[in-house]
Amino acid sequence: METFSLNVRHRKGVLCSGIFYAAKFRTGGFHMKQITGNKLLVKALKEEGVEYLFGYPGACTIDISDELYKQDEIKIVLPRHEQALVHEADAYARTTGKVGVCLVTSGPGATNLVTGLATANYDSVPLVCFTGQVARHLIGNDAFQEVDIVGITRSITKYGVTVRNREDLGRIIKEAFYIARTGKPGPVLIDLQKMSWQSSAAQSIRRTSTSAATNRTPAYTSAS
Amino acid sequence: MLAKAKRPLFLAGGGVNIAHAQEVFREVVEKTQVPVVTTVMGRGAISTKHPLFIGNLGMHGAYAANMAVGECDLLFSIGTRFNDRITGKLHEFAPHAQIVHIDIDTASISRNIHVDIPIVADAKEAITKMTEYVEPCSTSKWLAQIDAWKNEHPLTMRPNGVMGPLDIFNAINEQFDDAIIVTDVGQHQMLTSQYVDITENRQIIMSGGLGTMGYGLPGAIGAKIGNPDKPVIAISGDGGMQMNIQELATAVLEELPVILCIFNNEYLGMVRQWQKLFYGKRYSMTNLRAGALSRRTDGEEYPEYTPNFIKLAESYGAKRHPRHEERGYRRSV
Repeated sequence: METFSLNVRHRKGVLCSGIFYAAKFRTGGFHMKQITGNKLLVKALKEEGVEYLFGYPGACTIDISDELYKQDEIKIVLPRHEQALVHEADAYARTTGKVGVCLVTSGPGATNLVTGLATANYDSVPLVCFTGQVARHLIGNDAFQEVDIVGITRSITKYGVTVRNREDLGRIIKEAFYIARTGKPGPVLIDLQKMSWQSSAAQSIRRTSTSAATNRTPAYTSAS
Repeated sequence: MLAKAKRPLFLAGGGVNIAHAQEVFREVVEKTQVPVVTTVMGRGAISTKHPLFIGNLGMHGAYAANMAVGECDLLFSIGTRFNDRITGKLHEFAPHAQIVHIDIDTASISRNIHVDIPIVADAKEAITKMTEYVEPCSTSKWLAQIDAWKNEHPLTMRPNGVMGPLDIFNAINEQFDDAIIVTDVGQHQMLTSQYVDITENRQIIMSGGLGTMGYGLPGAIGAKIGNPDKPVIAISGDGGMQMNIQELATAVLEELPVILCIFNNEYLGMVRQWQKLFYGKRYSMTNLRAGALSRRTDGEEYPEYTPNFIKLAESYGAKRHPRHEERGYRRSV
């Protein structure tokens, strides 16, 4: 299984870019349908029954905004500030019992979430917040609108994770919703590195299992 | 234990509401005849009009509720983390009581208050299980004592001839059968949590744990998006309102009819209240009319309050109903 070995190698620290990864994947003789990360994200939200998404656009999430534009199942709410955005998702979750979903860009978009995440964490409100993140080769460079938002929010979220590989995206979204709504509810932050949702892969969220969420968290919480 | 106790008391926290356990909780309360106090986040765990409901406990709670906690011999608490705002000095909290604590979060058990009997469980599952074997308790003497405390110091405000917060709360209590009440953070929040009735069809939400000013208006917007058929009433102060005032645009453009009450006292009232009580009335940084240092106190007139909320709402295209020159009571779209 070529994909499997690639995965393992990557986790051991052998770098391979998302594009290279995808190209390898395509030539690997698989006949499953390829799907980009941002398409998968929207698909995953629909499968989670998300009706409303509270979003504010930016450079690092523009492709996701574009994908959302092409559908009308999920309704988009556009607040005027990210703090208000996360409060709106929070109140939506508190009054409906559903998970509130946020989408903001990297850097200031992400840091403006902080107060709202802490608010939701203190009052046990289920949220899944997607933040944009700069591409992997820029991480740690003080790149434009780059912050370590998983690190910043570690003590005020129930779970925070950076998606580095397109292949992990489906599973992580599934786990995020599961973690947010079960037990003592709380906010989950998913940081999306740019490569992780631009490239294509075959894995869909249907292949993942929610039961994996409980025993898997530590390996994916590291910030960078 | 409930059957053996002479002065048992239920303490319901936000966990009861989060678990949607209000109905089974009421069943247990009615069957056992044990009175209930709630935290601010637990308000609505049982209808605030229920005869067995005493009030909120803690710093901003009712006299009878705090007396009941002080005197009870069994504190049966569900879904609360014993936050410092409810416990005060830890060694003086419920000194005569054995404490039972049901919570879903293992980390909340005996973290702030040492509990005698911890139970880690979902509130709804635990309470549902309780319904099977609780027995009626003989609490009539205890209830009479609580009633005496209630009458001794009822929750009330001195009428001063002009329209006050109580008039607005009474109007809300009378006019809306079902509603979602959203508050900001500050004096208006505590007043709302004390005076607005939360019955079965109502819900109150606020930033209870963190105390985030600026939650009110966006909170109302989020609540309305999720509940288009229910009236949503935001109660905010002039301070908190200005922290996310840009959301008036969101409310108008998303066509969300929320009712927004701004309690404008021209002060950051919660902090000012502390300054009044504990800091020799030195009102530093809390006067929203004069600015941080209140420089213009020596015979000079304060400048006019800024902003004019009514005009501001108009500029966003919201409708307004001025009820009082200092209080806007308006309905956007």
